[in-house]
Amino acid sequence: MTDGERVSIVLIEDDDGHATLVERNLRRSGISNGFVRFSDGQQALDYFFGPSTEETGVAPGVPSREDLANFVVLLDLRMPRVDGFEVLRRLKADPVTASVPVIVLTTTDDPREIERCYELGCNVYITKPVEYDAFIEAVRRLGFFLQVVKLPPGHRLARP
Amino acid sequence: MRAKHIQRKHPKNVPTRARYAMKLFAKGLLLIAIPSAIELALLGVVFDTQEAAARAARSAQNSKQILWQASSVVDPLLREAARVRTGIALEDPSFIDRHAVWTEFADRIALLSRMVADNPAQLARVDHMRAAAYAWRAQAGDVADALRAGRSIAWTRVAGDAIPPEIETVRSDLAEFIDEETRLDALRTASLSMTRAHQQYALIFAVVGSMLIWGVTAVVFARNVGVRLAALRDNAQRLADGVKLAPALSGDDEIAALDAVLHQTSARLDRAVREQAALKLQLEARAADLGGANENLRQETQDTEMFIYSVSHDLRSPLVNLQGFSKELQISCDDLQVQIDSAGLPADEHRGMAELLDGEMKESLQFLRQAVARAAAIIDALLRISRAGRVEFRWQRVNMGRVVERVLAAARALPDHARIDVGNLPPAWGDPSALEQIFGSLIDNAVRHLDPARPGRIEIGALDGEGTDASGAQGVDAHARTYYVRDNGVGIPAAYLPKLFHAFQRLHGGDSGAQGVGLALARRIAERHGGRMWVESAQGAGSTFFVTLPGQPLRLLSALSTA
Repeated sequence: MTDGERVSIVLIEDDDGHATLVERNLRRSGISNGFVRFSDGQQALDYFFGPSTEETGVAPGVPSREDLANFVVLLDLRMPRVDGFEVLRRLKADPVTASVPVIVLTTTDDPREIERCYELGCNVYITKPVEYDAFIEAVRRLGFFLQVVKLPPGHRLARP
Repeated sequence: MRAKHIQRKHPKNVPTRARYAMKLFAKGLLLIAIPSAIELALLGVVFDTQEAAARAARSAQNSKQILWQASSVVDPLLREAARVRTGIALEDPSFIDRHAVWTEFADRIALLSRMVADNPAQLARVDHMRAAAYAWRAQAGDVADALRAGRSIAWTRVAGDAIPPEIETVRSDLAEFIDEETRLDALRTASLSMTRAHQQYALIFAVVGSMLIWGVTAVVFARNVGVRLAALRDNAQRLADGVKLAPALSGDDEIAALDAVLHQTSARLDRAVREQAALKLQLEARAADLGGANENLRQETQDTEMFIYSVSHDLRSPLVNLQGFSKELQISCDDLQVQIDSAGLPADEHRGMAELLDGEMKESLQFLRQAVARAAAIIDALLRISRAGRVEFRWQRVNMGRVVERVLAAARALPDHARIDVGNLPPAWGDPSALEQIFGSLIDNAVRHLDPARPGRIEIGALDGEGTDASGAQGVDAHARTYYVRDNGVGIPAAYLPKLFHAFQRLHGGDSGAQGVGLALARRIAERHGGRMWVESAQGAGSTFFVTLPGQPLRLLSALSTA
């Protein structure tokens, strides 16, 4: 895979089993070269909005958040402390992180929740259990698409 | 007045109706009779006085006549006396014999005698006068005889110069008579004028009395009957208007009776109104109870559905892991197999490992994955059926032909020689995807239950006009359409028919496609549309599923859809 097709995955998921499954499948597909997993929303928010990585000393292998251009965020909704809605909202509200594609990955398929996520600005909503082939394709394409497409400056999805 | 006096004499609660009738009639009679009687009395008095006056007048006139007659009665006597003297003087008896004179005198005195027949004193005088006159007549006769005989009448000469004493008697009697009669006459005239005065007074009294009587009658009538009638009418009007009545009228005639009836009616009306209000309260209470019970039921159903929903939803998360990791196990096993195969192990160990992998592990994994798939399907079905009551329908006119087309396009492959015929399907009113679900379930069911022994035929159509279901329940509404899906498959045994539409009661085991909720869901959807679903089936011959759907929107349906 070329660099252009690789993305860094940020997975925010509280269930270890689910997280492991996603990780294994994504690894197998070779789509990502960096994989970050947060167990709850608070950790994710700290990562995105907290002090810079140089100060907190993020573990090696974890892409620094300055390199946001190749991120894809996989977000679960049901999490303790800070849930997925809040994370989604914060991500899309902040112009720096608003351009990061967010794929909501969750068990619930309630139309109201789906609508709410799209209103908050998620890019894709996928219900578990996931068909990983199609899923991986979607991830790849989304990341690639956002890499390649030139968006006018100031657009909320444009790179800063 | 007298009428009222009579009233108070009688007790209030006199029983018979005849008595009441007499009362008002009696009052009326009295009101007419008494004044009439008094009028009659007055009239009588007037006539009386008139009569008296007339009598007095007659009497007075009578006296005058007597006086006149009396004055004339003595004249013939005097003339006869003169003739007798002349006869004596001339000694001619022809002067004396005058029968006409005495006839005339007799008549006059008889008349006078008749005139004073009622007065004995006067009558006595008249008789005395007559007697004296006749005595003198006898004397004159004697003289005539003597003259005729030629005797000497010297003694008569002397007697003949003056008026004979009998005539003098007559004259004096007559004078007395006339005096007396004059006195009577004066009396009678006085009496006459007095009577006339009486008559006048009587007339005036009668007129004034009449006016008084009628005035009093009018007042009595007004007070006793008029006012009470007005009160009665007023009460009747109040009754009609539903206003409280005035206090009951006194007395016990028909007016009072009518008034009592009015009061009774008013009391009954009040009672009826109160009863109605009580009944209405009861009805409202019952309606409220019913509403409450309904609400409870609805709430419970909703709670149950929510419970099922949340449980099955929560089960999804472990299910993801189950499915995912069973697949992972499979993958790892395959990898292991590959590694073992390429490891170049000694044949025995290789065989042992391969056996282990291919045999028990593979079998275990297979069962595991099947079970996981089954659990996933059940949880999915639970979710679907618990969500069926909550999904909002988008009501519109639905082209059923297209719905069935879509279903058939997505349906499972038909076995060989099987055919599906679609008849003319009139449009229905409902939610297209929900209706698709119904037909999807039905068609899927039909296909699944085809008899492999004969070529399958599935018919989808609609009934004409009014359909009635097998149980003969109420006829279908004219606006509703009844569709059917008929197959000639294996049919359903009669024993299972009641449970057919219950969730999870699967008749034929094996294939876990619908998980036994398809028919239950389909029926729930049909009911939420305001329709019905039922089945007719003969074991070994086939089944026909009927579903009724509304053709036009009914206001009732929107209430049902939120149930």
